[in-house]
Amino acid sequence: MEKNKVFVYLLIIFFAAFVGTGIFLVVNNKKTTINEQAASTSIIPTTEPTQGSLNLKLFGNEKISLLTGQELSIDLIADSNEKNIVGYDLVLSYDPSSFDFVKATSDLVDFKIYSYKKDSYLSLLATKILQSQTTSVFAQTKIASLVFKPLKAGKFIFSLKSLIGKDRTDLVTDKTEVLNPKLNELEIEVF
Amino acid sequence: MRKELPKIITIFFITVGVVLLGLNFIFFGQAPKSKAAGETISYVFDPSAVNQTSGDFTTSVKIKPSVDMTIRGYQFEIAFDKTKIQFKNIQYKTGTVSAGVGDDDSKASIINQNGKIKVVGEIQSATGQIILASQNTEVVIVSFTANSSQSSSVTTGATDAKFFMIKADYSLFEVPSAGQVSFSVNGGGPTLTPAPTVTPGGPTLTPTPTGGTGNANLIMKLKFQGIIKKPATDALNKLSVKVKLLNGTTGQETAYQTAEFTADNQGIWSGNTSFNIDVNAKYILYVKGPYHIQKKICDTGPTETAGGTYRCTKGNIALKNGDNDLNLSGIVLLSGDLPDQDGSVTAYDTSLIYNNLGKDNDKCDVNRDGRCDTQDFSLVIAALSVKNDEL
Repeated sequence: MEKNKVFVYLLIIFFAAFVGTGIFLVVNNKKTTINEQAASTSIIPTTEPTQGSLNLKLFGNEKISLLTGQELSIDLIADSNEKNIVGYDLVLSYDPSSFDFVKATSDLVDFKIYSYKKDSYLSLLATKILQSQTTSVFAQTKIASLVFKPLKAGKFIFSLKSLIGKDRTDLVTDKTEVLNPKLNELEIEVF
Repeated sequence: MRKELPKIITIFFITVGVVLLGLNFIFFGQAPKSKAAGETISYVFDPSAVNQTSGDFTTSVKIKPSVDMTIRGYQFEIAFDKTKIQFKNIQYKTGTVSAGVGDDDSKASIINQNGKIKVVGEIQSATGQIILASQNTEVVIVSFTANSSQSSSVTTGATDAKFFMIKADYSLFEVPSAGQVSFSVNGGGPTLTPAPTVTPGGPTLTPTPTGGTGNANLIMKLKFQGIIKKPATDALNKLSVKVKLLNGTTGQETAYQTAEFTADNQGIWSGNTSFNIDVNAKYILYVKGPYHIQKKICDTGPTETAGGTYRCTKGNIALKNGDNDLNLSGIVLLSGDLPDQDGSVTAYDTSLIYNNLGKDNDKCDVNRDGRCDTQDFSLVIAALSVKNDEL
């Protein structure tokens, strides 16, 4: 009888060790997958290992053609990896001799955008207003619109950069954690 | 058996826990921790000297980190005396030039006008590039053309030089320089003060290298945005301010000196620091407060009509040996670049205040009232007309 008891306990311990190892392997496998994704992300120059994303979108396309003088509105779509965002920075490289930056407007009432037109790029700083009571978790959320006016014909690239000089693209969480989002670029053809 | 059930469940969970802890310790216990403090990068010129009165010469800028690290990019300046040598070309050997930001051969004329090469490069892979603490890594090769037999020096690795390291958590960390280094041209040394006037027959005096107490002591008065009176406690009434000088003739700048400033009842902050400099030159003064954007000042008594609007281009500050009183309180140093500073007002800075409202976090107490509150937030927002350090 006593021997049977010991056998049962040993069986339980063996089973628990089996389950514990299984849990460890599953968790470990998930972590590896995340790291591998970050390391193998196909990137444009100056992008960094990513957490979340900031993407330029244009009527759902990555390429568009438009006429000179016709205003171009680019949507900024964000994903914050389930984190609550209280501010973000953005660096958008474009050709200022071919496009005039008109304005940047926030699509989120809780955020205010400050824009800075530089020699070869546009820098934005967005901060959450103090009165805000809501959390801001971005899941492919349209967060801002950027309006430009084409000045001449040709093919042009609008590219989000992770860093130009001292300006950077990032998302900042409610824990003041700085996320380096995955970025993209757009090709625009002006006739 | 029913009586044994609690015992069996307890044994089961304890074993699961022990297995998880054990495996976690075996596989992750030795995992590298985030290296985010204390690392530095040492710069070196190779070769470090040349004797040449005409023609081209070449040197490499190599770096060695204090620990092995993975880098993603870098930015630093190489300053030279444009009256004695001219830039010819540059090759990026680590990564590639950051297009439109870093200097390359196409910017030769601008480089030679400024006497300064802005080296900005990036590693174009998500995994970055590993640089080892055991060896020098070549970053750039620079060629110059000598046009004078007079001595001069080329310097790099000043305090604003930085490499961007990828930490274990995939965030970026700025690794500062271990110190400025020089490349000697025709016997030129590291930032020397001019030889003192020597009376014929008197003792021969040699120049004094930079470091230690300088020949020009700057006694400065400053005004910071949002501080209108003396802070309530001694702990709050103390600000560490970084100061450096740019020689308007040679284009060479000193390393930053840090000075402790304290306020009077009117909120005017006083402090002093000294530099080893050529007193015959005119200077631009750069001042950066601990919560502030760097201010470029070209005049001894600058003023402005609205706070933060003073701007200047040409250095007009004459300094003498000994004490130099500089009342800079006619202009306001704008806030925004909070610790840990990166030379720019970013969402990190505004978020630091936003996330610490009502707390006594010293990192976001811009107005030195002992609290991080909506006033601090408003000050930073009000100053957002200027986003980057003035250079």
